[in-house]
Amino acid sequence: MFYRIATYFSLLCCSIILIGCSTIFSAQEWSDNYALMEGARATSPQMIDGKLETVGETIFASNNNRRLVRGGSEVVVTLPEKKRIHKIVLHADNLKHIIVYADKGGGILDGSDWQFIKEIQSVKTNPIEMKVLIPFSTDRIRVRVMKTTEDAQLAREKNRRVGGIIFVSTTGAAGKIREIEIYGYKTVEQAKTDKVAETRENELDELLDFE
Amino acid sequence: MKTNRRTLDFNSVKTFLFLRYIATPFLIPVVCCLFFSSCAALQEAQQKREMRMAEKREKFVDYAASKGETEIDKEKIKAEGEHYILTFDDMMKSHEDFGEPEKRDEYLRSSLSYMESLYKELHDRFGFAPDYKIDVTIYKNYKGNVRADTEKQYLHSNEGKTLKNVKMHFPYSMYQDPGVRAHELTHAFTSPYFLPLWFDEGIAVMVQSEFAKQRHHPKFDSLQKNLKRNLDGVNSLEGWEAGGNPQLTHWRYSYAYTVVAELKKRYGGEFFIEVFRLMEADQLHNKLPSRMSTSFLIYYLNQAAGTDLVPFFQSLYFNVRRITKAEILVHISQDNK
Repeated sequence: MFYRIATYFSLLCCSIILIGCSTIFSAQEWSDNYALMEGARATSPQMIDGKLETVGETIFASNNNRRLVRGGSEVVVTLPEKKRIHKIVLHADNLKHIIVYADKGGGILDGSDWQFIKEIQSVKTNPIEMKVLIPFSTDRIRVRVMKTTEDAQLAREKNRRVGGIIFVSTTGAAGKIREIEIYGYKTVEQAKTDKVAETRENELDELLDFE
Repeated sequence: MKTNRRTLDFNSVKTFLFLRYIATPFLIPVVCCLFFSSCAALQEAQQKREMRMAEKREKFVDYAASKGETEIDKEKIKAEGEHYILTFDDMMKSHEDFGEPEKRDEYLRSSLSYMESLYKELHDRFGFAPDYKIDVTIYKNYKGNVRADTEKQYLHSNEGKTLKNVKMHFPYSMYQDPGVRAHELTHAFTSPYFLPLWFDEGIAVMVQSEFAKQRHHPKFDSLQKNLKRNLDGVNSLEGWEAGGNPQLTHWRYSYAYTVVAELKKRYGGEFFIEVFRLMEADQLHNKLPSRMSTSFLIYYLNQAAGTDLVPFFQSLYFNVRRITKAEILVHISQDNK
């Protein structure tokens, strides 16, 4: 009796686990770009307008204080709702060293709780594609630009010579980002809806061809 | 009657069991209800906490993206969006950054995108919705590169005058400054209303400080402690004209911002939307030969706030009084004779 009950219970648990894990076994599709959602905002809006021809600049903490040692410049993208994010793509011209954070929320002091997500110390590709594993839903992503490829040139222009002394500038250039794309995985319902829509379109196309 | 610790009366164990069998079917649903309602209460408490956290959360000055289309001419000198026309002066072609058409194209598109986003913010916060496009020209050199100018064109009729067009002239170095750009673009929106100069500048500095995060003119912590009066005993904000003592001008920008910010703090984010909506409904500003007086402005501020603000302004030594619409109409009629 006991063994029978235990067997049935084990079977029930296994079924529940398999159903719950079905998403792992099914093929994952990327969602639509969350940064283009209605209600998405950014400190540099050109970065989320869906156009690669427009360039936004990252913002320093204060316009009068562009010290590299103070943490560079940044852009914050705010989504209209919390999402599970799995990929971030940056189309950028001059980034060299970047750090990405996500807001977990619920911080004691100011309600924000920025969690370190990824750091790239030497950007080699454009666009910069980052697969990220953020273990919580978030509605804010922060990209901090620590160094750019234009810092050296800007410093040379800003260096001042007074007498025999050269005052070396530590100001940095702003990051120039054309577009920030943020993706998660499509949910099962979204995938089904998209498939239905695609099938319907194909049927309509066939009908038109037939005529 | 026998009793022990676990029973109630004479038939001890049986009585206890009897009660248990009776009570259990009622107890189980009661416990479940309590459990689920506490879950619901917990969920509600969690949602409220998240909302509190969201409000308390570090706020950034951010913008929604502009999704409108941009038209650019072949020479990449002029770009037109939904609410702005952005033009390079001819000399800008010789600027080291804009010699190539692709560079000009990128700059015009990016700048227009930002300006359209700023427009949306100003519309959402103040209700501005001019029915003309703002024409902005960027110069390599303009009047010593120390000032930007705004030209206004009016259409005159029996009803009064209507602002038809606003043209702004920016030296490139000033246009590059996000704070100055936000400040001057705000003036393009407030121009039609003939606001008192101090109020106009107060709003522009508020946008400059709170949107572009530029603190050239910081807010004072106290209106009373930082008050300045002229020789007539009137607040030095009144009688403000262009030019003048730089220290006094700097104080005026900051004090005007402080007054405007205080009004927003007292009456909420929708306050200025209501003020401008009331002005639009009345259209009295179109009949004014010059900027409105502070008393005239207070006539609208009172309606939007739902309270009399004359004592507040009088406490700051503004030379104001309570006026009615009839008095305003008589005044306009007299001025326009």
